[in-house]
Amino acid sequence: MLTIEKTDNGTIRLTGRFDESQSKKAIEEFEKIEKSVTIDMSGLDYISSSGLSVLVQTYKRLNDKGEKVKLTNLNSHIRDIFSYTRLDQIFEIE
Amino acid sequence: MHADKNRWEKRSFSRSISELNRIFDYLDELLEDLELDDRSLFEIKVSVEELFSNVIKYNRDADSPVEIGFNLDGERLRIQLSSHENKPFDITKTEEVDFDDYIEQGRVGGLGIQIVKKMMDHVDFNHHQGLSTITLTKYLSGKPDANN
Repeated sequence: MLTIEKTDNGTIRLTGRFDESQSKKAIEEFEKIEKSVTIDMSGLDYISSSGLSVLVQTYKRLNDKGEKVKLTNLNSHIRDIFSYTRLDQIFEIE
Repeated sequence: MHADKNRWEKRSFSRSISELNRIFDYLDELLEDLELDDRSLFEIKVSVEELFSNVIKYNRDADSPVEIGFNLDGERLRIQLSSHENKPFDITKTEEVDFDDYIEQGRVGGLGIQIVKKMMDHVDFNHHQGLSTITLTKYLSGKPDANN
């Protein structure tokens, strides 16, 4: 189960498991983002390639408009997935 | 799960992504006894999801269930996904994703297999009499030295 919350300061906070069964819901939520955004992954304990794809599509759409996507608080396993796929080279990760 | 090279624990799942919750529950139940570290558990779950998802996508017209099996032989954990299908998709023959193309196109596929190959120690594919079988091998204490 994946929870997507927008905090008061505009950060998107992800919690739970971002697997393929959650992709449709996530795409609907991420398509609402129009400006540069920070995505807080401190509560995220799992992500597969389908979750990465949602993030890449969001990055591509925003980057084409000159907007940015920043990812924060990734646990070590999730950080490794970004490294395996070289996505750590495009996202700003803190 | 008991360490026995001849014993496979198996369960069948229908070809639907909605089965993922059942699959994760199965993995938790089966792997609990092994007291795996968080990283290994994470890597096994991601790999099984990626392959299950691929099996469904590449044979959408198939209706046979997907069987997921586990075998533990000492430190060697093997995971098999088997399914009857008409269009065998040999994941061992896939090329590495063209990263620049991936980003430029905002593509949504291809990364999963790359991730599995990074996380597992071996990935094998076999297709015989309509049955495709993908076998993943992970050494729980790290990959043994090739010279041993």
